[in-house]
Amino acid sequence: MSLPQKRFYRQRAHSNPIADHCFDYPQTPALMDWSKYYPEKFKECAESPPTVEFADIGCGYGGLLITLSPMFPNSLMIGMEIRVKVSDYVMDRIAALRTQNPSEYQNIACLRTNAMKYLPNYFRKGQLKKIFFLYPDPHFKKAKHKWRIVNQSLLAEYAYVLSEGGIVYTVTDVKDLHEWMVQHFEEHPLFSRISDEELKLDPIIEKLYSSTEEGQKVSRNNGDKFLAVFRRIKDPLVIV
Amino acid sequence: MVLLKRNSNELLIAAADSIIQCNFDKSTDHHIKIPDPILPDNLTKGQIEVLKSEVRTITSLEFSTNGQYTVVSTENKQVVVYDQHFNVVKNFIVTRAASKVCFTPENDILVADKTGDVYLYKLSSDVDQPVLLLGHLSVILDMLLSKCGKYIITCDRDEKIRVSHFPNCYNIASYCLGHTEFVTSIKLFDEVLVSASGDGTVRFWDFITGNQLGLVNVNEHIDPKELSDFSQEMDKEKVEVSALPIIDLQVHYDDNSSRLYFAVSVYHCKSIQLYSTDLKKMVSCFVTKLSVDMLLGFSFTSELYVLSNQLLCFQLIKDDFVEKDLPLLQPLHHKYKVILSQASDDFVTGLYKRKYDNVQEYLERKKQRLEGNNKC
Repeated sequence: MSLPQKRFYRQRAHSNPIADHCFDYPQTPALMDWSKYYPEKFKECAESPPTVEFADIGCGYGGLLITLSPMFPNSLMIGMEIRVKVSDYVMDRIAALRTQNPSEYQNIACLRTNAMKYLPNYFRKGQLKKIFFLYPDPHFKKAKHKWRIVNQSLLAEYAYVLSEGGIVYTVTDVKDLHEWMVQHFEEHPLFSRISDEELKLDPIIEKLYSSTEEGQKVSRNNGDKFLAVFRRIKDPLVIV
Repeated sequence: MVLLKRNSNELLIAAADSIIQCNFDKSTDHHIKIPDPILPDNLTKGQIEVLKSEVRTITSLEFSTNGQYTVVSTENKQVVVYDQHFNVVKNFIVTRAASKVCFTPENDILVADKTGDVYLYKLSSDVDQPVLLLGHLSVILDMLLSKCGKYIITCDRDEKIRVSHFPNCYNIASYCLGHTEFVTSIKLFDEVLVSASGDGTVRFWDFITGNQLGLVNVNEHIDPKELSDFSQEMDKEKVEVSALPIIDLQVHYDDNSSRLYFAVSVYHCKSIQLYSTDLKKMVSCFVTKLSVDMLLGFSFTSELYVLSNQLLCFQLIKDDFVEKDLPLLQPLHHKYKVILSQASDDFVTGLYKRKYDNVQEYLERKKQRLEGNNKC
């Protein structure tokens, strides 16, 4: 089985997240059958099946998943992508990698969904350890800011599916969007920014710059890359 | 739909741009019309025209916890707060049309709007600087605060019921998931949340954990022909429906029997179904069905008020609705006929999703491409 060719899967970079697309999604997280996404992992431990811990939201062509797969062999990761052809490319790519490298890439998978609408359908409260937003659609026009994957209301959902101590990684080449994301995460009481000092110890950071297709494109064009990482913290508000 | 709300010794009927207040103690009735909007200065001429021309149909009406205030929202983006004597306390414009309003225990106002946001407006302050509390991605159809005041529960067109902490709404306590269509109505009794949906079911939830405790399919007690008629009607709009949607849900706890009664009205059906639930065992049973000539709205507390082609009152005696003769009600329908006849149609058909499928087509083309490759 050969790797899929990207030229058959190209699609414009924008998608309307508010429209009523056709999606299959589980009614509740308990009804989600992950075993078909990670068949080998589920065979290995049929007794206590593993749970998905990392979510790459808007995973694009799947570069990050493929880089992280061998780094965290025991963590299940899911890429979520709204575009039909792009998500299909990642699925074909992972399938091909699995056939070419038996026993590898068993911990990564991709599904087509609208993460803005269906995250609580897939994940229980506090299930995720890491969420990635790499090169999200900047939606430049002010009228479309509500379509941005990071906004005040949606941060509550990300905080809900993340466990306390869980981490959100954001990277963009658009300065304006970077400032927007930093502002919204910093204003949200359930997130606090992780210092550059601390980030030096995180092996994922350097991969964020280079592993994704978007990141490589920005490098080719000598563009800037802005990184911001946040930790899900306990609710500071204690009501007596 | 017409809203009927019971508040101690009153029945309020909200239809079109009017509230009809019936006081049972004094045997009086009053007609209150939504006042003109107070337009902020910074509006453009175009906006003013829009705000003025739109119909002031009441979309929601709620009382404050102490019964001191009443709040209504209208189609034309107005929110009006009245005191006990229906003097206007506050009359303001919200940015987007409100689908639901209610009070906090401090008598501040929560406004849920059609884009899915919930804002908090302070009753006391003159400055209308609302605070955004939370956001859904589709219209919020109902909203309530738990009795303890620590949770705000909102439900939307996307099948979701969200339970957020209050006032720290950025912290989501749970989602009550399971409905397969829009959630039209939610009610709370103690720790048990009751919800009604376009999927034709009423569900019970432990709202703190989001666990579903029970389910009642109210479509079991309707004439199958009603559903097939509705199916055909929606077919024209390319929407597949498998159940008649529930329009309204009201609950009443009966101390004598220790059972929670709930009444529902279903789209297309000129009847009100009554069920009762044993909350300890979470078992529900069908009690009775009241058929009327037409159904514009109802209010179910210890008594059932029904707005049909007349205004009726029923008492529940031995699990049967028995009509009660209230001299105040009879002339009311005739007196306010003009207002009541303006009742708007139910909005429910617009809540179904007109889905478009771009996956099948892509897969078909991909299959052709791959088959073409194999031939080479």
